[in-house]
Amino acid sequence: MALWAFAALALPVLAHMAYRQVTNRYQFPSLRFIKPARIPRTGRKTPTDWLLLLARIMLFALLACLFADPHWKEPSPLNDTKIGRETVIALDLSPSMSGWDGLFEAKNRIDGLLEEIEGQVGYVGFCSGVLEEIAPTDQIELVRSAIAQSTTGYGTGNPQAGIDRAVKLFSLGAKERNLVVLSDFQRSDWQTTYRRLDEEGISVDLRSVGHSRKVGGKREGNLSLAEAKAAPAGLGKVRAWTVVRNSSNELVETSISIEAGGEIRREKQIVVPANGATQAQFILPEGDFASAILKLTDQDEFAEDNERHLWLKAPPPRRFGFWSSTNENKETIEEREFLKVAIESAGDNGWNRWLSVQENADGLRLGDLSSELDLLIVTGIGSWFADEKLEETMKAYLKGGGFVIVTPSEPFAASVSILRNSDLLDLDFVRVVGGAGATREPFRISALETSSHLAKTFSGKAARDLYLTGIYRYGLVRPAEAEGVYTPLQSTEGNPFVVQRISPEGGKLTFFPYRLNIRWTDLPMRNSFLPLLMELVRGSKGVVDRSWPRLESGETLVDGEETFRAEKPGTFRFRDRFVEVVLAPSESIAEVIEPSETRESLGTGFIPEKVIASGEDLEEEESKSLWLWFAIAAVILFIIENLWSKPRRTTVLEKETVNA
Amino acid sequence: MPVDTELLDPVHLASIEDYSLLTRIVVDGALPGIHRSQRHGRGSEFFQYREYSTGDDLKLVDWKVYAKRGELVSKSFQEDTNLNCYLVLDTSASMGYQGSRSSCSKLRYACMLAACFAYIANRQGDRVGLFAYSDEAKAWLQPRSGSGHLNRIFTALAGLEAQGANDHRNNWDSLSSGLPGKSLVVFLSDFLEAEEELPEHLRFATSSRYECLCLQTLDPDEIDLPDSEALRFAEMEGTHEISTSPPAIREDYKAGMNDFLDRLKDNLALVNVEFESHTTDAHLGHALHRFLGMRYGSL
Repeated sequence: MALWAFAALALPVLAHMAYRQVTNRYQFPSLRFIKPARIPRTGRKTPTDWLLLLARIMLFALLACLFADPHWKEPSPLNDTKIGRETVIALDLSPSMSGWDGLFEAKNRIDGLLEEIEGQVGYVGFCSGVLEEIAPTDQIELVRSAIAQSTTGYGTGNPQAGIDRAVKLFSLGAKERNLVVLSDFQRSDWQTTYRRLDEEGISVDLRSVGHSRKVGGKREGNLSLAEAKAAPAGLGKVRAWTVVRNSSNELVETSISIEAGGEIRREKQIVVPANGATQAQFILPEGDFASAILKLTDQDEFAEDNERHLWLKAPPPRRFGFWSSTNENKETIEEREFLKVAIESAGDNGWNRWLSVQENADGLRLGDLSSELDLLIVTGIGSWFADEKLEETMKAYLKGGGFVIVTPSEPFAASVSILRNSDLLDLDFVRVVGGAGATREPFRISALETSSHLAKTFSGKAARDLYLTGIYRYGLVRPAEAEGVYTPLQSTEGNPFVVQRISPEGGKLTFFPYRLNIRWTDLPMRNSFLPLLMELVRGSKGVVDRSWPRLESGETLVDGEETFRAEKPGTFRFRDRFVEVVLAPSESIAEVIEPSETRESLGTGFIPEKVIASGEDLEEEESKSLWLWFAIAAVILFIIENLWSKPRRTTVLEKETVNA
Repeated sequence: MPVDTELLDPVHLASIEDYSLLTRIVVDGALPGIHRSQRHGRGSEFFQYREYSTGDDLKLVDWKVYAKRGELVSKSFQEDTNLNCYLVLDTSASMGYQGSRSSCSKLRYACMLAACFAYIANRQGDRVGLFAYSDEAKAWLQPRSGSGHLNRIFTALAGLEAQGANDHRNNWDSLSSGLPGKSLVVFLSDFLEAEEELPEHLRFATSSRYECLCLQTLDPDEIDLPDSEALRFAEMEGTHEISTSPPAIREDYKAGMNDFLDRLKDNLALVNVEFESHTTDAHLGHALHRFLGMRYGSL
């Protein structure tokens, strides 16, 4: 129709355009003596103008084609075979389907369904992704067998992946496409699923299963171990702690046990309020068992969340050591011993502890970079450091992500010179402040910047303790402005109390411009000292996070080039890590989504008439619109036409020729 | 007098933005000696010392100098001519026209002329003023002498833009009512469609106190239309548009334009106003000579 209309319109317009003279607007001082005149036509039948006419005809032909919306149909083998009706069964295999007999019920209903379905049948089983699939086929038994053998997965249910995959399984040539979804429609899994299947010509049949104990919007009868962790409980003991949640409208009395070494070690009765939670804990001797399983002894509607595996092992300690002069003076010995005791007492009552491993520090001092050391403390840096040429070793250690604490020795200027000359920390020494008057008012730490890392840790009483710290003497230094150099602590006068240099590799060098003993400062005596030290260490790549990683099924853990993929819940070893894999807590949620909500997200099941009227519409999806190509060609031709038909200047030569 | 026409060609001058430099090139470079020395005599304003010559009036001998140095020197005084040179410049939108055959717009050409006039007049010791207008006054500098004032005129000229419709009537009235005594008024405009009203407003020039020179600046396109087969002409100071074929109407247009120019010249002659028309592709020499001839006698 569009072609005919344009053909009819094109004739008179073409005739007009063939003789059209384009006049450019020309601004002129006065039109007083300018009279309108007949504009000479350009439609003289010269070869050049014939080409212009041809260009115009082509332009109109292109426009006609453009509005006719031509399509290029690629030959498709699917289009050649006209398939009648196709049905794809999408079966939810998320862990929650194992509860409330959801999967059992689904399989039974599918059995009946397969008897009724006409045409080809396909199958998609999905959990966090697609677990299994069969493209629509006439071999119904193949589908029946696959579904009968299917079991639930462990990952968090992701219906979107299943629905998207099911849609792709349909043949393009199918005249009728039906999707049957069997799921428990657990709210946490389904609430974000969206695809307007009705607009794609697919009818949807949503069948809820596992709703036998549904009351209102949720299902009854489930207890779950919502949380569990192990922590030290005094010397030689470990505490296994858990939270039990009840999703029923009734109070539940049950018992919980802890199994370790293949035997039940403890068991206790608990009462869980309706729609509430309660805690339970067990104390076990530390070191007897590496791992344990917490279990709810009574069976309920969803068994997968009745067990929880956890490690009872303490993570390995973080290691630290010292470098100091071989001829230590009394002050250095005091400082070193104090720091050793203080750091070893840091951590979570020995659970996340620090361990002094001086032999590793000595190994590193001899150049063995493979020595495992998380923290190196250089007490009283002085000429001995330069004499032993330790700067290169320290740089290599920092480059490897190591963490170093440095304190000065006397003379203070020499310590600064060594740091600067060895290119470890570029500082300018000004003078030692406060050395003369022992009775004078001590120097105080200024308020932490609100946006700083330390400010988040030190607030309220903790901050007050830090601000009460007295520093009696300190070396006034001016760090050079360089990338990675910070002063996390400053005096109230703005002088640095701690200078840090963070290397691009993550290594940290922290310099205290005073000795960590009572003659210089009372900071080591403060409650805030150890937290401060730990905060200065935190965030460095050099200090490995020693807490055990906990993963949900389906998640991955990368360490170097190796990857651990969490599948079944349990306790696992991955390199030197102890990994706990837990069932996704969302699978224990008993709320289900209402069918009406899901229907809105996926389409109501009503197929618009135009979609199911004929298979031709479906075939159009395979053809490619040429609209853009015709539009580009039309624009190019239009530009050529405009340039061509632009009024040209009459050159002097042409004028003379005309006059002649 | 030999004239270096190349230096006066607007093709070269149009690229010089600094009017101070431009005027020195034109006046000192291309027209050397066109200005006479200043008239010295018994005026009121001290000009310089010169060596005493026999016959000099003894009243002119500076005895204080003689007492100090033992030399006889006579004082000379500059005659007070009391002449004001007023440059009146039309900056309406039509003055911004620049055809393909011109190297500058009509306004730029008029500004170059005005700058040269101001420079010459200043060198002669005259006071120079500037009045630029379109629909309203755009620049108005009262006549003064001195290099500082000359620079102010150059700065004002450099800042002029062709825009707005012209309103000769009101602006000329404003100007003529404020003219100081004994003035040379130089009008620089295209005077389009003003052949009737202009003489009316320049009647003041019939007075012996005033001399008036109208320098019309036109683009060559305005003489014989641009070279194009078809154009849709749009008025620069209005909204009127006419589509036409320049070759078809060229002869009629030229006749109409010539008639307009003749009538303008005749009408101005009736009120004792000198008139000169020139196009923007013509060198500046002719206009400069005309100006110099009027003010400082034939050169």
